[in-house]
Amino acid sequence: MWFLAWKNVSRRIGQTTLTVLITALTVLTFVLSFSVLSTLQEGLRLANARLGADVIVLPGKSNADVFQTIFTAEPVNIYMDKSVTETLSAVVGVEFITPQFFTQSLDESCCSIGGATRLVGYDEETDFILKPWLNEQNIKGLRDDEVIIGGGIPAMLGNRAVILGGIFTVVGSLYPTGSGMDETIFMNIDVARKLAQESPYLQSIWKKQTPEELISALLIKVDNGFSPEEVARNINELDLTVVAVSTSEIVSSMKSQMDVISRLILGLWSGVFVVACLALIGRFTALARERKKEIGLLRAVGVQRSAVFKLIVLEAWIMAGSGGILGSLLGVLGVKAILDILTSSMVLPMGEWSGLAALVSVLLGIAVALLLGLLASVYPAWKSARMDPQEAIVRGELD
Amino acid sequence: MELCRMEKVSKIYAMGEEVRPLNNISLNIEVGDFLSVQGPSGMGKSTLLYVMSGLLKPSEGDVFIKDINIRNIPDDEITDLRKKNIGFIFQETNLFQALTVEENLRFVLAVGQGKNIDQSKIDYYIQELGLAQRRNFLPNQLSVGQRRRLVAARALINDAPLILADEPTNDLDDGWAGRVMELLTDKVQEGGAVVMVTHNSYWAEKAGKHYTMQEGSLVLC
Ligand SMILES: Nc1ncnc2c1ncn2[C@@H]1O[C@H](COP(=O)(O)OP(=O)(O)OP(=O)(O)O)[C@@H](O)[C@H]1O
Ligand SMILES: [Mg+2]
Repeated sequence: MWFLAWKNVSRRIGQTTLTVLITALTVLTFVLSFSVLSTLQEGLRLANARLGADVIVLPGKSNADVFQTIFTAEPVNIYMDKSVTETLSAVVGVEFITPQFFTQSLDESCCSIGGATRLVGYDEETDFILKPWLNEQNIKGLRDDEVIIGGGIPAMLGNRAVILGGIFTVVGSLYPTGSGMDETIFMNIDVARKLAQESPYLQSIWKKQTPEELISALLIKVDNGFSPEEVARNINELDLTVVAVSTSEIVSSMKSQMDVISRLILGLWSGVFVVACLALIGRFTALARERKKEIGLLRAVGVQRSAVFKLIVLEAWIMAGSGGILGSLLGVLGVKAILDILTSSMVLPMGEWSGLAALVSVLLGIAVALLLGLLASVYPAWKSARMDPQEAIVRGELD
Repeated sequence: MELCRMEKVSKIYAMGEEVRPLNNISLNIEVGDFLSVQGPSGMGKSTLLYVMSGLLKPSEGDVFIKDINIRNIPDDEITDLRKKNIGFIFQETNLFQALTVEENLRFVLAVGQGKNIDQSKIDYYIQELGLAQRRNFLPNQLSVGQRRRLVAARALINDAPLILADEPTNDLDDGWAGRVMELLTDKVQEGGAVVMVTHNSYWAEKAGKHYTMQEGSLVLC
């Protein structure tokens, strides 16, 4: 039976190619949307778990800055007076609070990252964001000529990096978080301030206040028993020309936007699936009708109805299966490119697109293809199997 | 030994105008029988063979294959009985289009005998029916006569005791027609039976019993 199915498929090459193409395209769209969506979801999950702070306080501006600050590594040169730290540490519900100072590297600068990168100076004394990681790596603290880089920056430990004229040693790289942290360079806050102060390109910013008096962001961990939203609200009610946002709020608002998009994409894809299904049902039905005489002949030489049914489903599976493999492989190749375009054009947290994810996509893609083949061939197979053999042989393609 | 028996069989086609090609036919086919059935076109000769093989259900009466009444047994069992007992040379030269000459035979042999295929049988029929040069050709690359020979080989290859041959000598020159007739005669002598429908009186003469089909009835001449 396998033999006949294989020959039927391979010797009707035109018919087969068309079916394989239809399946391959359907599976391709599936693999692409599935992988991209799952990578985004994974990114959100990571961002939520690893951002580290419950509340982020930024100088009072629009919310867009918050997004940009958290989910990209684009330089954001925003500043507020460092006295805010004192004020806010008194707010009810604030357990830990630590300042960060942002500045930026220049285009020519560090590692293999193109474009300007955000430099973050963190305060070793109060920091709780990098601390767990530092502890794990047994690093006491950073020397002034040392930096830690985000998990997304390709650089080796011990690499030298030239940043704004200074030479630094990379002592570690963080886990990927799917957030802007991945492409950020961390250093001591005073070093960052000094670099900023001396950078000829940033002079215009220091007209009113010098870097020593400024910070860019405050990261807050809230006391048990307080919700981040509550604490953020308390801070915003102080009217300090700063914005406080709870990170979980950002992530969840992002998540609900993404859920809408996911649903939309899955809906569209279901449409594609149904169209492909109908097209293939049409093809397989036409094929079965065209081969009525042959099916009658099968029955005449002693092939059971159930075997005829299996033959037709098997043929559909061979074609759909090849389409599935083809589509999945193309999809996996294409995903990387699409993810790259997405990251570079949108502010989005991204999960890692790993070999495991690729494998899962391929397997799912093939499963989708087989499902498609089955759905499309069941009816023609059933009809062929219960055809009256004499009629099939004598009257052939006439219905 | 009885291979096939028809008892008061009638067949009515009820699509559009009613046609009754078989009317109350009773017939008994034993080992050693070689029947020829002649008659005008459209009389129901092919219908008779289809009913005998269980490929077509009679409207009335009973058909027995090897003493088993096929009226009330499941389709799977009828298929099995047919596989083991009947080789059908169709009037149409229908073949598996995606399989070569040799593969067509091998497939049918595999359906009949399972995995352990006796290649010598395939070689024998390919040789006997002059298809050796066309062994690896697809059916649409064959002449009509070559296809007819292949259809004959396919019916014979499973060693079924009863061969139902519908115009087996059509499209063949006397040489190849004679060869096919020899193979059918061999079948009868080896302990089988043949029912042959033909328009050709010359070949009909080679059979042991001669019937004519008239108005739905079989008349022995
Ligand atoms: N499936 C069917 N449905 C309706 N009528 C049919 C069907 N098959 C055959 N017939 C009719 O039954 C009659 C007998 O057909 P059959 O094929 O048995 O004739 P035949 O004697 O074999 O003719 P020929 O010598 O031309 O092959 C014909 O009139 C034909 O139109
Ligand atoms: Mg006929």
